[in-house]
Amino acid sequence: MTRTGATAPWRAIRLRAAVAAATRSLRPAGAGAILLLAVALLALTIGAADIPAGTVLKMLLDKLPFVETGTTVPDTWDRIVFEIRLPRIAAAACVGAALAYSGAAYQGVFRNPLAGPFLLGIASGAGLGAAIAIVSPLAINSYGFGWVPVFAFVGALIAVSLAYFLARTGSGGGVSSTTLILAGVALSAIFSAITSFILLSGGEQTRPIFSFLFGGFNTANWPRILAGLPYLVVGGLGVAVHARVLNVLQLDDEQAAQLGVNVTRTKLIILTSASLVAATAVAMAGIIGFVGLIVPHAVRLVFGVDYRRLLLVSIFGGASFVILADIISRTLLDPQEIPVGIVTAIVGGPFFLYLLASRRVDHA
Amino acid sequence: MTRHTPHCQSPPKLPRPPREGVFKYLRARDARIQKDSAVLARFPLSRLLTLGLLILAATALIAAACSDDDDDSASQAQSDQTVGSTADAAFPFTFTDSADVEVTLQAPARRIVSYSPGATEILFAIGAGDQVIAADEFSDFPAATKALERVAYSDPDPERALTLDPDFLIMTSRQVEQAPQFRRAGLNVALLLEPESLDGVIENIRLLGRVTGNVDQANALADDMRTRIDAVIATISGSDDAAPVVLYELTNDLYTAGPDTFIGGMLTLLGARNVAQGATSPFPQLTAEAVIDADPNVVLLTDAEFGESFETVAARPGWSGVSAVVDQRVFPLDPDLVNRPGPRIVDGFETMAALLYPDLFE
Repeated sequence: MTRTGATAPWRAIRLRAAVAAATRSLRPAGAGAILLLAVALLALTIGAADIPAGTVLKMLLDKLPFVETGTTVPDTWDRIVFEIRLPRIAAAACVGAALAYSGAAYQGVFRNPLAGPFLLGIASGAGLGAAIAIVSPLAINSYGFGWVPVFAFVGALIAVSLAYFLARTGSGGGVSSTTLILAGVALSAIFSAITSFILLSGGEQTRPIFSFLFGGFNTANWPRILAGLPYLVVGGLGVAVHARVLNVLQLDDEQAAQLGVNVTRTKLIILTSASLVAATAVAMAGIIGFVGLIVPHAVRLVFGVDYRRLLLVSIFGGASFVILADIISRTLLDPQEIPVGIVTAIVGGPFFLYLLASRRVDHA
Repeated sequence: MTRHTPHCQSPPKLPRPPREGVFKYLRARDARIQKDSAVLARFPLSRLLTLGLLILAATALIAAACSDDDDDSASQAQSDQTVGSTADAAFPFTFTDSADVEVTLQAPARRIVSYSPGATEILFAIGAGDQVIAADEFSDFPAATKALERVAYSDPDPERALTLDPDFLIMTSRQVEQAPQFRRAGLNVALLLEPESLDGVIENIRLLGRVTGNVDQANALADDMRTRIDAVIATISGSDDAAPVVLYELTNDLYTAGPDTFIGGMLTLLGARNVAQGATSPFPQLTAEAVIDADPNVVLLTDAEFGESFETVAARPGWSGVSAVVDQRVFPLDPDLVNRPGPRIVDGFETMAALLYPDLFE
């Protein structure tokens, strides 16, 4: 009975520690959520049509139950805000979150800061799959979703498994960083070349592929977002349940195995899940570079390397980043649209370099 | 870590070449050079290189001089004879093409290869169809073009052209880069860039009439087109409706033709306001928001063959209240009628006019 007496304070301390740990990991997530909300609101008030920001906010409040602001707006404004801007923002958020999340997972599995959906050839693989789906008689049309995500997923899986097996060093399932990146670059080039070949050889019916590969959210609509969401959730959960294991995987594979992790199986599940997420993003919005690479890095530099936190915050970071990029892509050359991938690279690149530079100064 | 560092820094030892050996070699070489000076003075590597460079430079200079001459004579030729001038039907006939190159025909062209779908249509329309021996894969009108030999539109091969033994080749905007290469191969090439206006099409018709010797037919066609265009413009000028706002849709993700394109020019001629007004690139992708905000009265779907229709446009999110949808003025339009700078462009022009001003063209 002395035993129970002794555990009571321990239990309290443990509880307090757990709460503290939870707050620690939730605080960045909370900050991320607030950032995402602010960015989404900003995006909702900016656009080609001149609708005052205040009016947009009132229109939003009117949608809430029991709130009446008594504002009357032209029908056009209502359609622009709720049928054009809102689905567009939602699509950008989904795609940004998916790319950043899968990027974080890839970086974790490969223990390689350069891993990302773009550099590993996964995006090009998914793009090729999607292109094949578009020209194949299976496709309905480019507005519907149909077989595009399935083919994109298969393409992404082929790419990631090729890169993985090519880079596997003989013993113990370790992966060589250099070989991995080289293989990814080569695969990327091969898949892009095949896609170009399909584009050139297919004649008129390949035209939708062009718009698809350039990417963007101009044709975003709720049905397509809802069609993509299940894939994102399933893939996302597949990675999330292994978030803690990802931390362990940062050690040697051998050490991780000694700690009871089934390394090969876990890696396989995480890679498959992450590829599903990345491929869905490609199917939803084409190939958008840089997000999967830089967002997890930015998050890691700011909030540290715990993968549970990193994955969660990457969702908010990626979503916010792509929404911001999309604001630029639809307003900078108004009434014209700029492919959002151009914006993510131009805006994201220098930001990433800045983070790298400032981090080096910290270390010196 | 520390254990590995020194190992990493020291490279594996290689046998160092004996210094003396180097000097010996140099001395030997000097001796050899002096000994064989008779030969080596004439053909040392460096001199050979210099000679090669000199030849290259000379060739370049000559080529530059020749092209200078070309330019001079071209500008002179341009001053007294403009594209499409048809003073008489005599040969030899010389004209200046879009690249300011003088093109001469000793006799009417009898074996023509056309890399321009628009030019192919013109040739058939002016009764010179049997003078065409080959055309690019997009030259698919009229039906008689099916029997032609094929050449490549996008990446044409001069060898293929040579085997066809043509006396005249027509190239257009897509083949600007290749035209000089074809000329150097001895082929008689005229570069006729895609015209920027209806007037340009009519000029091309008169020119090709002159080239093929079918002057009367070409001039009759050109005059007829001119009359029809003027009639449309006269009819429209009688309208006191507000200028129609038009979305000329190329794809369902809202690629369209900007104001500075051939199509944009036709819309302007038709008194319409292009939704893409203000866009900077020739074929911009518009944001859905900008289109809805501009509220077009008429939507012309050149992507109808890809499944777009009034129904699909009306079903797009946010489009239900757009004037063109409310008034059911979303029309399919055959892109070949309006994109291709050939004789059918007048049909396209009249079709567009009727769609924009249904009250004036019953």
